Amino acid sequence: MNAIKADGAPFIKSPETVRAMMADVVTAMIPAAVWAVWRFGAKALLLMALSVSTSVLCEGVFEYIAKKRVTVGDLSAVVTGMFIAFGLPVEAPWYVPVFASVFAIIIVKCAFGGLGANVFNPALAGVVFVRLCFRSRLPYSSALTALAVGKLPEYSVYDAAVGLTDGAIGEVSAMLLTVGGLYLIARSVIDWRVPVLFVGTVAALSVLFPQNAAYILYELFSGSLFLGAVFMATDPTTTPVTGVGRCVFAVGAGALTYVMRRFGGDLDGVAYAILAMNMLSGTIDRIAAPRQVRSGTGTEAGK
Amino acid sequence: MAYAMHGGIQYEYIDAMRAARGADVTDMAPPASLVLTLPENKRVLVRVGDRVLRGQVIAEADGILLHAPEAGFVSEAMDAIRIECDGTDETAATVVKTNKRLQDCTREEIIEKLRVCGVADSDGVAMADRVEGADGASVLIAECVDDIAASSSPASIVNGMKILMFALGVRQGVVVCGDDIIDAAKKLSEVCAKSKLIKVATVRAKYPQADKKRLAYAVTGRRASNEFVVSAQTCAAVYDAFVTGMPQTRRIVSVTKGKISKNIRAAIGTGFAELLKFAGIEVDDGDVIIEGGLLCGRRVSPGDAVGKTTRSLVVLRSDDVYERRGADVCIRCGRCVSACPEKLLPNYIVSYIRDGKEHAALSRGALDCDGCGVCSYVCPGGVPIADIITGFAKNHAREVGSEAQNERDKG
Repeated sequence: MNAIKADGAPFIKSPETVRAMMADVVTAMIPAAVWAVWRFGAKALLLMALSVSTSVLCEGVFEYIAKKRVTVGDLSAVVTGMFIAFGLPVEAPWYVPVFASVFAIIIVKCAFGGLGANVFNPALAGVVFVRLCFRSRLPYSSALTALAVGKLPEYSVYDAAVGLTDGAIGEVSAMLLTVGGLYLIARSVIDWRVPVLFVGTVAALSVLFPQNAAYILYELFSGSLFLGAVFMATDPTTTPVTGVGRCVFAVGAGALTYVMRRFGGDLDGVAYAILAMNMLSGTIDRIAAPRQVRSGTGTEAGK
Repeated sequence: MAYAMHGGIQYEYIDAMRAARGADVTDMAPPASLVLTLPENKRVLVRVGDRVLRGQVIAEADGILLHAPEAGFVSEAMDAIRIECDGTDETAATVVKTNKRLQDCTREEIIEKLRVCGVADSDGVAMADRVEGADGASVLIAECVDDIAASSSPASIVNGMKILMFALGVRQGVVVCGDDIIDAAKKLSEVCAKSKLIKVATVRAKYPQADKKRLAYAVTGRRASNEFVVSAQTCAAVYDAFVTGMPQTRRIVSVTKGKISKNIRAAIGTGFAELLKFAGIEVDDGDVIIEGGLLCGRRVSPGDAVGKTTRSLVVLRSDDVYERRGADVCIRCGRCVSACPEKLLPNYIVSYIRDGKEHAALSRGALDCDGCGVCSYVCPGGVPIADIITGFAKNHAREVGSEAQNERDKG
């Protein structure tokens, strides 16, 4: 298609592009990714390489076969691949990230219409899928297992926050994920209210309905809470577009996470909570629209 | 702290002409020939070869009288009137001062004066018609957010407001100033200090704060209903018309290219090429000249001329002009939602329009879109949101209009 130049306003455009946003997300993930390799070794790097390359390949092949524009250049498949790797423990066999990526890209993303059209977070859905398929080969972090039966984990809160623990390779270091989150907030890529409200809700609920006062910080730093709150719950496509809607989403996801952890739905709860809220994003937007426009022409709408 | 409107975008991010705001106005002598373009429904009242005097009526279009900005000979009188200026200062006999005080005039006299002088507002609508049709206006709002005349003649603006307020029967007047023209706002405050009825309000210089609905909301805190909104330059023109009887012959235009940015008071009919040359701006091959703002304006050529509604010219290098690629993707990031001054959900409206869900698009407020274009500006996916929504609204209006016509024809 020919470029349409200078025919009509706007004649200038903000420099933000999808690719730039995705590149920022990848940049924000680098500290956690480096930590993963340092802590878990070369296997972590292999998992990341496998999931990223499979994601990119799947997207490219699908779009080519479906005769659509190949959008691999917008880096969103790279981001999905990285998220999938982050959600897997280092014990995962090599075929696990491949399975996860194929499912995430082909079924959850492309089959729903590609970037901007998917209902569910592809990376989360991919990780959940392989956790269900290869349950025995993908252990949860020992902290989650301990908390679920009411015991304190073996390591200190400091270890949990910094990432000197076991668990999925990208989820362990709450500290480095926060650093990434601060970077994304500073670059205006994500809405700061979502991670704050998500983690805040889990914190508030663990204070209001405590198992044990000592658990609260473990609760926050274990599992994929920070990963989910900073990177997954802030995914533009699958979350509400309105400010209030995002806050509702974050609080809902936090509440569901806590409920699932306490009532045994899942040891971690975060992935399922976010996926459940993904389903409700459209409805939340409808209710939380900043201006109530009455049906009809809309011109009689009140403010 | 200055009031900041919801959504929109700071002028400093988008507007190359902000450099000229608050700068002094330079007068430009009228060029050798002036070109006055005429709209479709026109009645030309002079012939080629006629000699016209400054302020003489030369045409009438859409209910607005057009006058010669300078004395000279008419060399063209078809779709546009071209006047070859002869450099004399002769003024038409119809230009008559008002010797009465404002309080002794009647509303009809003021309206007649506005009509005779062909005073038009920034959108080209006749002020006489507007004042006549204004029923129960509650407040007069003079806009100095986008309009840069404030820097030159605060007294004219305030006096013009007094005249309008008298004619409208309005007891409250507000001059709304952007917070990036502090000096001009101070000068205006000094002039307003003597009047109990007029005050100055400062707002954050954001686009599209100058839009009528935005100003009304900023001043009254309520949805726009019966506020009379007019630009500062128009108030000054009203004052000139009333006191001197001289119709609008000059227009303050800000011209910008890169770092060069100036406010120039030029005769209406001055060609853009001469105006830019006077400002010291070179127009290279491939440069694009845009009139009326970079987010909502239109492209013009150097051969066009200053009209009654010309506000600004920005010359952009070809590389700096946004090139819209054919493909775009909405990633539902919500930047358009934060940007929309009307608090709409532009991404949803676009997706409904593109899916053919007309009713859904309308119920989400597609017809309430002002076309300010901030959504298109911020969209990372490059979706031409404002164009899509305003295009849909226009089509809808056409369909509704033709349906109504069919009904009438049938019945």
